[in-house]
Amino acid sequence: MDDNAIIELFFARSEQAIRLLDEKYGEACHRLSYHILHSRQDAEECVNDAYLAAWNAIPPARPNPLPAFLCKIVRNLSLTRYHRDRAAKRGGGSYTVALEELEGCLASSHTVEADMEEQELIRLIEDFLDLLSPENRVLFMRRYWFSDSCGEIAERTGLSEKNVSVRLTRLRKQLQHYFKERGVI
Amino acid sequence: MMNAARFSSALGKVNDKYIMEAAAYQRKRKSSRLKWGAFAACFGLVFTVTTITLPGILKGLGGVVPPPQPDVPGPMVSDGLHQPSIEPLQPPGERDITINWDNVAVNESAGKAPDAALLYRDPELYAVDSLDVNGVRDYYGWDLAPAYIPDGLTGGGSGPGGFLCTEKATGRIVEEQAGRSFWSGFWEDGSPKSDDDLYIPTGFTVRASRLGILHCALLPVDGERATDFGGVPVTLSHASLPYGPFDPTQKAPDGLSNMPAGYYDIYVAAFTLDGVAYEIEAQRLELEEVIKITASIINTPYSDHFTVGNSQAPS
Repeated sequence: MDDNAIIELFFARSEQAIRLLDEKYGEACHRLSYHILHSRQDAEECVNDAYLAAWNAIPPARPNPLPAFLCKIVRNLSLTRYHRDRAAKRGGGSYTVALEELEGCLASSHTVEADMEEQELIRLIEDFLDLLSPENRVLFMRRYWFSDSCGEIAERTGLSEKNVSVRLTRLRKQLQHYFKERGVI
Repeated sequence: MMNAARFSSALGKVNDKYIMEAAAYQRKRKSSRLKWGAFAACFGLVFTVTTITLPGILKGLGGVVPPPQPDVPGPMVSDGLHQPSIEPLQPPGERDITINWDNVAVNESAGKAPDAALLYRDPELYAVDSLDVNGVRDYYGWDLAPAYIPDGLTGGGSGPGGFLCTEKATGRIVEEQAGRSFWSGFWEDGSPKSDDDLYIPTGFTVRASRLGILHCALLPVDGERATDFGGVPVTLSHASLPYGPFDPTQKAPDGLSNMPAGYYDIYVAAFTLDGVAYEIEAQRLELEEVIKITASIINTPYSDHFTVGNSQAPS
């Protein structure tokens, strides 16, 4: 079903909207949450919470595109739970490994200006993404936004797992150089 | 201090276009047509070489070449139009269904993207250009503002908008559409706003497409009637859609949702004028208003005695 039709069902407060949302995007949402939390049960709860958040947000919101809106909710809820759980014990999910990879290139003893706005950082990241080729951009986003494993990215892109790994290493170096040039790290 | 968590948090807020690009990305598969074409070419080459050389080889070796047997039926290839005479004609019910892929905007039969996201046209093959008010005027001949707009509805300051999708290799326009909406209220982002607590905005949208591609989804239809305005055939359809709050203790008659607080009307008037397909989709408007809007676009005087289903000859 068309996303606009699903949104109309949200506006009509029909529970069918949630069923259709789950049918269309449930698999992607579960996978995204599972990559961060590494727990089927926690992922299930996060996705259900995301549906509730969407139900509360629409209306008045009329998200376009709907999948990006939903994925952002799922990611944010999953990260919140991840950080909460991590305070108790260290997690072992794909997101943890992805974060550790980024720490290697981003951790720095130099402090950024304490008041650097997050918006500025987002703009810098978007500029960096614009510098990349479409394929490299997808690789980067799949690894660090969706927390996909190298094997999953390889399956999606048709590249070998080794090639994905090498390209990601280069992309991290490129990111490090990009941030250093701009005095961010 | 910049750290991975802070970076990850900021990355989570980048523009939706990066997320959609990564979600919809699929590896390019080799065309099965090319694959089978290559296979057929190889087979043809082997067959030709064998046919030409094998008799000579067999003769050279002192072998005997069997005579051709034209009367023995062998496997035949049909193009679907010209049936070989010795094969009985297939009954119509058993023929393959032919699908014309022209004007198919999104081929959902190709399967969902791995993320179950919508499939979009490949930007390497297609260019999508936006149309502003001047573009809409140039392409459709007017700005999609009907002469009659019911009291209380406005365009909210925004004009018509549209897009042209062009196949890069051929320059052929494969999809286009323009639309303009008139509502009783608007949110700050320009989306329609309900003026009461039903959350269902009141208003209508005019959609136009020269290729006649106006939807990628079907609205439910409770009833459909044909009529004409000064000789222009018009199809009027109606749907009742539920609105909340929904009573969780009872099921609605359709069994799909809980019992709604009520139903609201959607009327759609569809017609083709000067080679452009139009749809007027009206939400929470009376049928009479929809007819007046449609008549004002077709430029036919509206009659108080208008009857749906009757021909309305110009006065």
